[in-house]
Amino acid sequence: MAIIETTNLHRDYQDGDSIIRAVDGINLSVEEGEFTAIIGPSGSGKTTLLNLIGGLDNPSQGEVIVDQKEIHELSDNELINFRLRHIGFVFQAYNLIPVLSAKENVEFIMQLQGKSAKERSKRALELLKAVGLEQQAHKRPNELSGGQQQRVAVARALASKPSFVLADEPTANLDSKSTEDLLDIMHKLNQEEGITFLFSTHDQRVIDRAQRLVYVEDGKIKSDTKK
Amino acid sequence: MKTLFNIAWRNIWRNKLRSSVVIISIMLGIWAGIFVSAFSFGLNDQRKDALLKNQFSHIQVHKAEWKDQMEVEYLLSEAKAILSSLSSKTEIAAVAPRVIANGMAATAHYSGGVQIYGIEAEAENKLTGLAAKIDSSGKYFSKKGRNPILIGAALAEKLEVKPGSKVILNFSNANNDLVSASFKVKGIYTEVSSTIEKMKVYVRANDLQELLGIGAEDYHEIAAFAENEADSDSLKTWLQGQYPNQLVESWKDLAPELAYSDSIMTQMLFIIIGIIMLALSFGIINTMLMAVLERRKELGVLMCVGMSKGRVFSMIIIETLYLSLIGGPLGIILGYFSVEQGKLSGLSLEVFSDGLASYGIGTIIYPSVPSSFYFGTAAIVFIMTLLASIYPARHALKLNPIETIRTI
Ligand SMILES: Nc1ncnc2c1ncn2[C@@H]1O[C@H](COP(=O)(O)OP(=O)(O)OP(=O)(O)O)[C@@H](O)[C@H]1O
Ligand SMILES: [Mg+2]
Repeated sequence: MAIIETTNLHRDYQDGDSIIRAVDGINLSVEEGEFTAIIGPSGSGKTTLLNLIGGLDNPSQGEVIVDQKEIHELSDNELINFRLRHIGFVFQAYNLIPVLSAKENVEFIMQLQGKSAKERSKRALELLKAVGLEQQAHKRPNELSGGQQQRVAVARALASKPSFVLADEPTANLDSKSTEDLLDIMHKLNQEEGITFLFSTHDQRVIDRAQRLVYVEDGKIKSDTKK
Repeated sequence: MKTLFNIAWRNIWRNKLRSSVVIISIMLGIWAGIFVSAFSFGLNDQRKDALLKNQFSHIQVHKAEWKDQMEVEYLLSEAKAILSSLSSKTEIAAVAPRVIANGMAATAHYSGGVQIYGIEAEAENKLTGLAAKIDSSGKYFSKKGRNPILIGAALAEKLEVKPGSKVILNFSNANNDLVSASFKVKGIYTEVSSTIEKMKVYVRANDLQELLGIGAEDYHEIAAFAENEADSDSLKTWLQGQYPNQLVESWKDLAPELAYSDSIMTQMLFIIIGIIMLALSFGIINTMLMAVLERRKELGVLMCVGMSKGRVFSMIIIETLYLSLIGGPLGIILGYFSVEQGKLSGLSLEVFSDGLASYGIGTIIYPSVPSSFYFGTAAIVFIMTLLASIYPARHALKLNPIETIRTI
């Protein structure tokens, strides 16, 4: 059963007189447990696609079905709740709340979900351990390296036990060592916990590790290969 | 919710300098507001006390007609009984009867209209402390001497008299005949108000009664001072009940503007505090707007990962409130302590003493603030900040999460 399903997905932007078809009729289906990279040149529509799947943006046409829910039909508030429960996000930068420690950042999402303090603390420490940062639990983002921050972001994305994690160029700001570390962790989570990852990237190292590659150009899927 | 407060608290300390500047300016603004208010309250209280002590007392009794026209014939019909009723009442601190006539005071140098108060020396002194107001060149009344008179310093200057000099008083007696009598200046009194100094002259009641051709127990006015000003109204009611044919008035009837001055003063000062807070609000709005704009991306990410707009809105409101909930109370505390200090030492206004004297106030002001004013100020600070926080918080709401994260 697919956890992400897009049908004839379109997203147009008006640019003066012309129309930019950032996403132009994409049909994509992602199964549980996949480790999928969306690749393609700059401006090809990767971010737009991820935003549509994540319910951050509304399609001009077509459908997005996540966990059997037609999310393009949800209201703003329903969407926020849906995202909170079903989707974990990792962004390129500015992921963490600077005034909260690593652990508090991870707990934050669970607080929004209304989890008890005990449960939050336990799970946050587990997740930080999973991303190899249990020692850094009480450090604030500015005391962590970029790679460590992204690992905290992954831990936070998983805090709400989402169906899958969306990551838009998660390694773009990282050096190769940090990129390797992050990939190791994401891969391990995928293999051992069966967590579904869908991410966009330009990074060859990431592409090499992906299990499925979806190549996008001009808002269309040009190729879709599984290793 | 607890987390929101926690995050908001930490957020305001991200830019320590900027937040401190806002907090300190709120503190100083409120401090200044309270101190100015305390000063005004003090001024007002002292003016009120002085006027009550010197002029109005707490209760006055007249014949009803006296109020419209001060004729010699409008004498109190039960003066003796009223005096003894008042004297036997424990709530009454002092009571004094007066004979009053309008007339002219004249010397070779000057003549001017005066109100001639025929007083019972001892009782009057107990009521208004008149003896203490006589300067060292003269003396207060005694049994001895013929037709002694006490004259205000301002009038004495015009008449060019000093103790021992003669002054002629002209006035109409009970038969409407013009009486002209010579008085000998016994003392010069100074009053906080120079208007009163020019207007009132004091003679002995018996001397004036004789000249007016009325009885030795006939008076126009009985004034009384209560132990406690707050009893004025109930004493008035009680006395009026006892003597329904007389006109009994409390100081609030005699000087309504004085009675309202407290509440008018309070309102005005709240407005001043409000204006100070309004000015400060612009600083608060500016600071918070900067804080929101600086953190657009962060706020965008927060909204993307599941923080609702309502929560973002509340977070900004809480951050704003924190600023003034630190600055405001600090200002109030600072205000409180400087007012308490001011109460002890008083503030000298020697420089303005002439102007103040005619206003009915001494030259040392003791600031004072009713405690309710502190609470009112706190409420104003809270409400104004709440209003000021809405704009930046709304601004945060308008952020489009995808727009903000796209430019990362
Ligand atoms: N808000 C917008 N208004 C107008 N055009 C937009 C907007 N957002 C994206 N676009 C356009 O849509 C197209 C796809 O953009 P998108 O950001 O999805 O590309 P991308 O594949 O993520 O690129 P990159 O690899 O550089 O991140 C681009 O041509 C872009 O200019
Ligand atoms: Mg992109």
